[in-house]
Amino acid sequence: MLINILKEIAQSNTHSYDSLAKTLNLDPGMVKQMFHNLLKLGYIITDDPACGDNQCDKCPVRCNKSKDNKNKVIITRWKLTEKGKKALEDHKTM
Amino acid sequence: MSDRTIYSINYLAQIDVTYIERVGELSKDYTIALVGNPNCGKTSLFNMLTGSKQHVGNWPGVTVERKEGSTSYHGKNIKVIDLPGTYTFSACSEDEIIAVNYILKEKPDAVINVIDSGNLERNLYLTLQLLEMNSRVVIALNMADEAEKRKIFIDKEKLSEALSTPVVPTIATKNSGIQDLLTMSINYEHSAGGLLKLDYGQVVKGESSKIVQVLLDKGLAATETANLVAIKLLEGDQYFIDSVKLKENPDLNDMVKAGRQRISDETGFDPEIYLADKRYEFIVHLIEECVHKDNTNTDDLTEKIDKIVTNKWLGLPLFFAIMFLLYQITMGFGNDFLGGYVDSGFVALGEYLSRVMVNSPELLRSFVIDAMIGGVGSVLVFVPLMLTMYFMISFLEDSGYMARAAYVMDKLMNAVGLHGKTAVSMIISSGCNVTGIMSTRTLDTKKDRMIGILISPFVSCSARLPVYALFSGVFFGDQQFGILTVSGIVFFSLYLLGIIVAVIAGKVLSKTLFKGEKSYFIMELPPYRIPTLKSTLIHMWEKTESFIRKAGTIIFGLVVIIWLLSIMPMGVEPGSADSILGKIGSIMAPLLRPAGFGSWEAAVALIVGVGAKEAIVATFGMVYGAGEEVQLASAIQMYFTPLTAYAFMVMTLLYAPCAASLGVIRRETNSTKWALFALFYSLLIGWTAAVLVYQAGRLFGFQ
Repeated sequence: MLINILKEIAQSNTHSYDSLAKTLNLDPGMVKQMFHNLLKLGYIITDDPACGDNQCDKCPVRCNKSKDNKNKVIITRWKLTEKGKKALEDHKTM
Repeated sequence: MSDRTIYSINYLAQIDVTYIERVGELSKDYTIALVGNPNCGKTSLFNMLTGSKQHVGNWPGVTVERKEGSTSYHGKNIKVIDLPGTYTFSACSEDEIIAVNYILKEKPDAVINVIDSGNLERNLYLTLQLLEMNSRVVIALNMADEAEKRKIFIDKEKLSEALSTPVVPTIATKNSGIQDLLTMSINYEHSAGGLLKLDYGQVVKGESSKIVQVLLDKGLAATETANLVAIKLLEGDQYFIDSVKLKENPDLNDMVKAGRQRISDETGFDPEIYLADKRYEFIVHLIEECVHKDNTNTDDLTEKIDKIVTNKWLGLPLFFAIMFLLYQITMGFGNDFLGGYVDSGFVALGEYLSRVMVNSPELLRSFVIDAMIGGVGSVLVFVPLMLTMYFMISFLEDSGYMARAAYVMDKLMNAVGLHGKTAVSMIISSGCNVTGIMSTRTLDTKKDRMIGILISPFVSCSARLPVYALFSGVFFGDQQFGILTVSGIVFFSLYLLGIIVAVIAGKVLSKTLFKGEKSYFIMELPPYRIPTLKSTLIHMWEKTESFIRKAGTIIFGLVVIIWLLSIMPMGVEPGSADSILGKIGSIMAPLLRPAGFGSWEAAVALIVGVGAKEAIVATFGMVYGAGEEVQLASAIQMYFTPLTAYAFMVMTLLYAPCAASLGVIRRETNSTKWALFALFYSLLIGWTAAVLVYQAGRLFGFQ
């Protein structure tokens, strides 16, 4: 199951826990938990924008860096770590 | 066995649990620990159990809050510890280490695992890890009412049976089930062999039993936790590696390494992935057995919309259709309709000041009428256009659509072999190129970042809009194509051209100077929501205010410099070709002739535009001596044709990043060389594109 999540991230095939959960026939809550677990195990990391201060008012992608807490649109970007890429490669070669 | 059970005796027998009345045996220090995921209602439960008898401090050596309280059971004092909320026990964070340490080392008499009933799948992973620790666990199936509202029905008896531990439904916020939970936590006892044993498969079983033996022989783990330690060592859990001092036990270390290798060889997975997968498999099976969800209509509104909006084939055309519509409304309503009122205001102001200042010194009159009204005023007439556009942009942002736009563009970038994250930078650049360039910091490699930095300035930012609005208003403003305004179509074509040039430039750069690499990321998009009018208006005003502030500071500063250059040397006719400004423009003008706008005024406007793109309009307003847009429009019509106007807009779109963008490029690349490269390569692209538009247009017979 976890390897399938790594595959989906690698292929940028999804854009939400819900759609990923549907693809993998899992519960969205469990998918969130799996992301958390993969993060803890060092297979993925979150990839927050680092646009610097005072830029949010000019930015249309109101992400989780936005200071506008009430109206921000939270985007979490995930990416594979080297460990994640290796796990995927090793699994493919099996 | 007492018959004061909250469950039937049959049920308790079924799950291998015995109810024993312990009141008489309770020691003074009987302790219950509360464990659970964040936001599972654990704190509410703690508050209900302990009431005002709470003490808040810190866990030793860390800043994590330690909450302790007490409750009473049949007159006996029970200590309640609220452990930090955690999703797993992989012991990576301070919170998790505190929780694991407390459960394994302090050994509370009972552990209440608080579970959010509506999120059972997410919460059960921690439960399994907790049960593997051989703790006396009682599950509080909290927020049971919320789950019921969402039509999630949990068979608590089956769940309890499968987990071999009691399950008590609670609604902590309503003080429901709390007493039952307390009673069960104190009085139940597992029968021998009644504890949950997860089946990790033969290979893990074989390897862990060897490790268990060594752990017991060396006294590195107690009998009840040896199996857990062995599994955790095979999982590579650093907390347990440190706790058994694995490196100081070479034979055990070798055994763990060999075990991990064998699991990898036989299963094809890293041991940590394989073992976690087994837990998830168990949870999936458990949910199938114990939970019924009445979700006949599983697609919520967000999913339904996303099926269309982020569709592989429809996503991109829809995005461009939305932007097309946005520019249609911006030009039709914002510029032509609302802008007319501001125009009238500036006409009246210009006429009034001309009358009032008729006897004022020539220099002061020139400054006020030409520089202030003609320069800054010609930019400010576009405030209604900005308000209209920013209202719609803010609406799209607040609704969550712009995040989808970034996702859709990501697909496009990947399809042409570019790093997907540059798409996000491009979307951000449509607000402001400076922000877009800065957002490339998230790109992993220097090569990806360089591509992102070098293509972001091609995206049409809001600073270019006054130029488009002026020229498309003057030359295409009264033309309709069916129900569409031609000026809106021109606007959109420039937006589209910016993206196309950015993608082509990115592709060329990735094939020549920088080689790209595959994107490894996804975006978690939020649900759609209907933006509130207040929030949309606030965001609209924030953006417009920034435009007005810029007009009053940077553009005003630039206009003052141009004005000074336009009246020098002293005695020269202000704003003539003989002024310093005119002479500078005249040197550059011949280079622009192939593009069809080889006047010194156009050359000067483009030079000033490198300072800030809005200043192009201000410069025209000043050098043509126009106090408001109608005069400026007449002057522009004398120097430009529809074809040269379009070529000029293409040049404005592409020709050079503004000074602020160049500064950021220099800072982000830490290189003046790259800032100059960005300036000159975009100049070349802008000039080439403008010449192509003009020459091709002439070939096709356009004027």
